[in-house]
Amino acid sequence: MSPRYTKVTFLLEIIGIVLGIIFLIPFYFVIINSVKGFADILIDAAAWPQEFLFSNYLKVWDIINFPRAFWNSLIITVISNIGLVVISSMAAWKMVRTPGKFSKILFALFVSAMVIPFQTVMIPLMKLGGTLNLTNSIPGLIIMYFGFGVPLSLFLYHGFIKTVPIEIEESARIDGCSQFGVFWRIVFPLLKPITVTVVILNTLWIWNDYLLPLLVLQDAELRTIPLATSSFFAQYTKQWDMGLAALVMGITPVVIFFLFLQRHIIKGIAQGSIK
Amino acid sequence: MDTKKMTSNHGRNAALLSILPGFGQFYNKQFVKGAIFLILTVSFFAAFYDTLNWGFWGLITLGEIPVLDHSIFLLIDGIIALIVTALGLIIYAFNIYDAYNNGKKRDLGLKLNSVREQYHNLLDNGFPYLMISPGFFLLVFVVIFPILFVVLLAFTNYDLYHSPPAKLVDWVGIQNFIDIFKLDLWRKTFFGVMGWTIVWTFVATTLQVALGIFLAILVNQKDLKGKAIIRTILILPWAVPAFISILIFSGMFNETFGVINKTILDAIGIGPVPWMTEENWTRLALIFIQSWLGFPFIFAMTTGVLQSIPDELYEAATVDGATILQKFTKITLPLVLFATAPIIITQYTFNFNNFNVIFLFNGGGPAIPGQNAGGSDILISWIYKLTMTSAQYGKAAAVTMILSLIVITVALWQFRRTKSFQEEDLM
Repeated sequence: MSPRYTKVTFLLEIIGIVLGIIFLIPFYFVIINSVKGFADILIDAAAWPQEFLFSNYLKVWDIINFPRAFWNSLIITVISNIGLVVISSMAAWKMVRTPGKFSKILFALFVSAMVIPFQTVMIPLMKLGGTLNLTNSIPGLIIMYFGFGVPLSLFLYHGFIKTVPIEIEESARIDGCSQFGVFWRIVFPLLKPITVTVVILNTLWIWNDYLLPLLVLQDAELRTIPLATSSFFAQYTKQWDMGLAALVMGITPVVIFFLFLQRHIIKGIAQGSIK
Repeated sequence: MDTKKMTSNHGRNAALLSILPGFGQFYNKQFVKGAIFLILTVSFFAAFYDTLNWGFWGLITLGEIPVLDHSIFLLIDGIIALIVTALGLIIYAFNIYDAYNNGKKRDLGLKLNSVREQYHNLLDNGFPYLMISPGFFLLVFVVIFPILFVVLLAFTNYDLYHSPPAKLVDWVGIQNFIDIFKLDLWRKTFFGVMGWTIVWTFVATTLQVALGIFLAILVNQKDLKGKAIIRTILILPWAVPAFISILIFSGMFNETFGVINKTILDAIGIGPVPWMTEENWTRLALIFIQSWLGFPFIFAMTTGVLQSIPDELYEAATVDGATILQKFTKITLPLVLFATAPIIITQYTFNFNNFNVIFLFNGGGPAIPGQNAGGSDILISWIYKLTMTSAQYGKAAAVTMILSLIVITVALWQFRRTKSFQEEDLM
């Protein structure tokens, strides 16, 4: 039977559109208020701006030194991603390929680390980070991301590698390929789908992360985009006009990243979760 | 031991001898290996003697002279000493195991590996550990160390009045736990916060999961037009950093100038609602915000699952005369729930510890008389406050331990049921 355009689907379409609009309301407020003056926002946040103050954006660009913040965020996200992919794919591969009690215990250890709430470890971590000179430095922050990211990435790789047949690796070994060679030339390319998932999840998490950078990075020089944005939202004085403009600038890169990879994200999430 | 087959006891002898590391290997005539073990042991003690000595002294006493001894640094040194000892013991156990194994081989009359073979063996067998070790060491540093710290802290009286360097911290046993359950102020707060945490976890998570699945099924209708656009819009909240969305919401819910009171509710004719000052209104707002924040992930995942359900299933059902409702309850829902169950449970554990939304929306407030947590505080944000604002480190660590026990129990129960572990058991 071929699907027909019925009343039901029409109704569903209407519901879909209405819900879509409801979910877009916050975005509407953010964008229109980012081009208003501070007083206008307080008078009526929902109204269409009387004049468009794009100068908000220019001011913010200078105040938070946007290129600098963008660069910091980029460096942190990229290096953390590379490190996490390398460390966890290698480890997961070997843990799958060396079955036994030891691997099992290790795997359980990694998995249970996944559920430890960050807030419970953050204070001792900062104390330890202080003694090891890892605070207030971008490399220190990246090392911490390695540590916090490994459990989930490893879990995802671990699930995927079990579906990769071992025969190819064995024949490559017989042909005299070294262990590293087998991994990088044969196994790693096969892991591409799950690597995409891991990179997407880690990128969204690290780029948008707020609490860990807040704790680790103190110098204004080192601030990431979320930190720079939040500087407009102090506890008692919230500079909504500047803050919202900073916000739009900050989320634009992620939204673009998201729109481009949407298909992969949907596919990847399903893949990562079902395995 | 079976005396008929075994004429010698090399295995046992070697194992006993290797109580002094290396000597078991010497006994098995593996001199190079034995020497390596011996050198490792000697250098371990040479390198770590001070660390261990100082660390264990600090761990036991937590310092003896105020100002000079800093209890918390001593505690940190002590934990490092514990970790070093654990690593040392692993090598030591391996040494005995190796001696025993090779002795056993000699008992059975097998030839032992030559130095060259051992080297190759080490490279081959050691390779997995080489690959796993970076991840493992990061885990030790970032996760295991802090956990040990919190666990130990829960048994100390570290608070504002016992805070180094001016004062020493002491071990107090389970006093913190007793206080939490016995002292009126603490008991009332703990159970109040606990109750709301549970309500919050179940209501907020169930709502976001239901919304996500419902929308995904809705958007996935075959003849719906403009799917791609609607889908993109619905995933968008995920792309925005959560803390920013929460700040925006806290602006929108602001009692005096927020759009919700001022424009939306005003238009319907409802007076201003005390979102930030009335406990239950704050909670309601939080649940609403969390469903907005949390549904896109479920939505994306369900969409992925839906796309993998073969069309034939529905076609067959249509041929058999199934109604839309039947198709939904008999095919779609079971398949979706089955595939996403592990993730849905993770969402519950995530919300149980969802610090960001609680803390950033209203700071856990409004304040409530007679308890030391705010009206919308969940366990994790209460812990944060205990540590950051009232410096009740010992109590905070005790609450953390209770919370971690709950989370880990749930998580273990869940992971045992996921495929990932079941397959593991088959291997």
